[in-house]
Amino acid sequence: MKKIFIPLEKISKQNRTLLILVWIVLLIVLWFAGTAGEKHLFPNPAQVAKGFSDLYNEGLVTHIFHSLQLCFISISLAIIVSLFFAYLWPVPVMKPVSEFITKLRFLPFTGLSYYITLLISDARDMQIWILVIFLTTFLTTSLIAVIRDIPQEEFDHAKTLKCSRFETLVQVVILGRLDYVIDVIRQNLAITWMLIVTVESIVVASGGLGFLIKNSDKFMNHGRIIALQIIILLIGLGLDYGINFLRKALFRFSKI
Amino acid sequence: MGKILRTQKLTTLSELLIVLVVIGGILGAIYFISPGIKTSISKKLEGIDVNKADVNNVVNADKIALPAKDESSEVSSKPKIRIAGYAWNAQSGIIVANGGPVTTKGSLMEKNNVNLEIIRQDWLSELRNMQMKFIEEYDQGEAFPQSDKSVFAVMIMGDGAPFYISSVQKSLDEKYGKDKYHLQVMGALGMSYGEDKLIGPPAWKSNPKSMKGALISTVLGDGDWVTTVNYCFANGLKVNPDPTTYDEDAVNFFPSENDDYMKAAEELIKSQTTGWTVSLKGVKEGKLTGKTVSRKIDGCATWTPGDKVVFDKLSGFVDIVSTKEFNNQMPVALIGVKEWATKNPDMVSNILKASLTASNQMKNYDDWRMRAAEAVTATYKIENADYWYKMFQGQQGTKNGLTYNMGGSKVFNYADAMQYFGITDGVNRYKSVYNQVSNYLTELNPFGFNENVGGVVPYDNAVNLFFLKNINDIESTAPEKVDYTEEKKEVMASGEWKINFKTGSADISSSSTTELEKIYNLLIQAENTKLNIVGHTDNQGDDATNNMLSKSRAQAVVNYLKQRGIPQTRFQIVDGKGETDPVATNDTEAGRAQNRRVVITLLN
Repeated sequence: MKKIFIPLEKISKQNRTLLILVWIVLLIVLWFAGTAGEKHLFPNPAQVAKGFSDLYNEGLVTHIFHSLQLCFISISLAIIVSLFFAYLWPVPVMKPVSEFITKLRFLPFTGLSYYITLLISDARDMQIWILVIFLTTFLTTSLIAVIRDIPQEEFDHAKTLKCSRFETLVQVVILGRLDYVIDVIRQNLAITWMLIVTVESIVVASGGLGFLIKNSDKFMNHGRIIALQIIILLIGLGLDYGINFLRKALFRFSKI
Repeated sequence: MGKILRTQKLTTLSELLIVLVVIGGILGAIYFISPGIKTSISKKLEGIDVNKADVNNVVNADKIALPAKDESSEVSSKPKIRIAGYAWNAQSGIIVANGGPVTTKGSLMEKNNVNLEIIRQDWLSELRNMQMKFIEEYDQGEAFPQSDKSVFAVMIMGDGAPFYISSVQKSLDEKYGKDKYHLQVMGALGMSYGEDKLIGPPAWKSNPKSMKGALISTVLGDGDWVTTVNYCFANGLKVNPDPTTYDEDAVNFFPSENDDYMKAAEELIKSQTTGWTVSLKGVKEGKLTGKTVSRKIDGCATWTPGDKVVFDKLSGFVDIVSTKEFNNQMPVALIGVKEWATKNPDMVSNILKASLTASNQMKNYDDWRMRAAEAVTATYKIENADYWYKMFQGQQGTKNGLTYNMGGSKVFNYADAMQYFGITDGVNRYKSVYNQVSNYLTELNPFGFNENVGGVVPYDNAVNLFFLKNINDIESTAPEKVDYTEEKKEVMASGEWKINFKTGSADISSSSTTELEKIYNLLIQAENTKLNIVGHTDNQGDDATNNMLSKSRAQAVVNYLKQRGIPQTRFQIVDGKGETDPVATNDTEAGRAQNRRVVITLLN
């Protein structure tokens, strides 16, 4: 029992699960206790439960699928674009271009959507492309970092196998790091999810979780707001777990 | 892999496929079993709520010295009171009463011992958060909450009050316990008089029915939206309040980015200039058609300077209807915290007194209006004094042969405020506005108002005139009445109402009281208009009897409205056309019911 208070101590998987459960229970108890009185900062569990059931009856699941669809389309497109730039990064002539893309991640969102609007005429496509453009900058940065970190030995190994430069690119950089690509996607998913809620609350006409949370805020319906926050958190965690699982399943010997 | 399904007989890929199919199946089942998104049915409300009481009074008051621009030192020791509001010109009175964003030397606020800060905030959610912060600090025991982010009151459009007060009340009840804190309208300080408007192609003005199927960008639930909804209903058009669907038989709305009225203008411009479209789910009679419709934005409902931006950048657009026509619709409502106000009644009354006195000066003296424009510029930090001065009075422009109007505001003196609430003449204009908009919120249910808020705070709880009535020793002048002697010719709106009468008689059925109430409310909001009322019947019975009957039915409506305070001089024509002008077939009961109607035309 003492072990759990000692730094760098290893504990069994069972104990770890138990600890997590205890913390979750504590959090829930704190929530119930903190909102038991007449005055409370956060909505109480009953209000959140009501928020959840109201949302469900008003088409929550459809909105969730809507957001997931947006997420899937935009992240797929962003991956294609960023892989293109990342794989061209080792080619000297393209290196400055790829690195320039990574620098754009510091640009703020506000104001730029106007120019995207001028180029894209449909509001839904606009949402997708805003996401693609901003995601590409983050994904390219992470992917280049993965390539940069490939140990020299792997390239040397390819050389000893008499691989040409292009074969080395394919074998070491592209095929050799596919598991890392999946992990990069997983890490950047949180940004996608945050951006999705933002773009959906800008163009609320297309629905989605962003629309719901914006709408609940408009009416100050805190039960719904917290219910939606919980839903978004759970979906985020679920996707995170799912992608990690996919990586492990596909790349059994991955050492990430 | 053999890890997931605990079998060695499958390859990794096939095992993964099985897992994906199973998860996909479960999610698919959830998707199909769970309730779909609710769609709203477009509605044509049988009623108009227009009341036009022009309150541009002729008054004679002694001139008071203009406020200086330096901050007052006399009141600096007193606790600071903060009020926040959007940038709009109708608030000029309270701002010049303060001399600017903070109380200045020689200002009327200083003379009334008020240390006031006026904060510009164009986001409704932020206005609300600031007021909630005030309540939180007050709840913690601070008699005069002082943090920068807390405001005692907000100034918003009075037609937005049912939405604002009701949604905040629900939140207050949940957070502090039922009925511990309340927000209330404590006075009206001025009004938009043309500043807020619907902008669209000229055809919408000459033939309002051509608006059918239009998509209009606006801040849903806001006063501009109300102006547009009023116009639709006055012209018998259906309204689709659901921002995610498109109904070709109704007028549709696109909710502007960030609930920003400027964005409403920009969305129209970008749609018209770049071909930007919005994809919406098609809907008919409240049911999804399964088709997706891509629509450009056809018009916008916005206010100054949004209107100026549109007219500067686009040709072929005019103001269709505005708060000049619905002149009583949009007062500047001061919404304060009841519990704090009842502990500091003199403070609240003094703020109102200083504002109403300054407004009276603005009505009398041009240099007060100019000083107000300077104070407004200093407070809003946008444009310059010349701009606000011109926009206060309203500007007219022409482009490619089309005439359009921008701006236009009024400020209230004491007599105006008393008249507006019906304290002096018994016609409570604000109550009509409040009830009408409450009706729109609950019947149209924009953004799911009913599910989210649960109900509207009734007028009697939402409005507290104690502080206004508590003002004493203020120059009080008689408000000018609207002059109805002149004949009006321009049709502003023409709506047909089905009012039920007892068979063969001109006695209005009790089932039609709600409709008459809506008509009354609409007439109150457009108080400057004159009225033509024409009755019609179906073809049952003989011509002569029907003629008589239709006229006496029109007269019955007039009698009802007169008894509610609408003056006889406002009715330009009261006539009956019998069965001569059917709008539907007389062969069916449904068609005959449509033909038994009263047409009310509002004339400018």
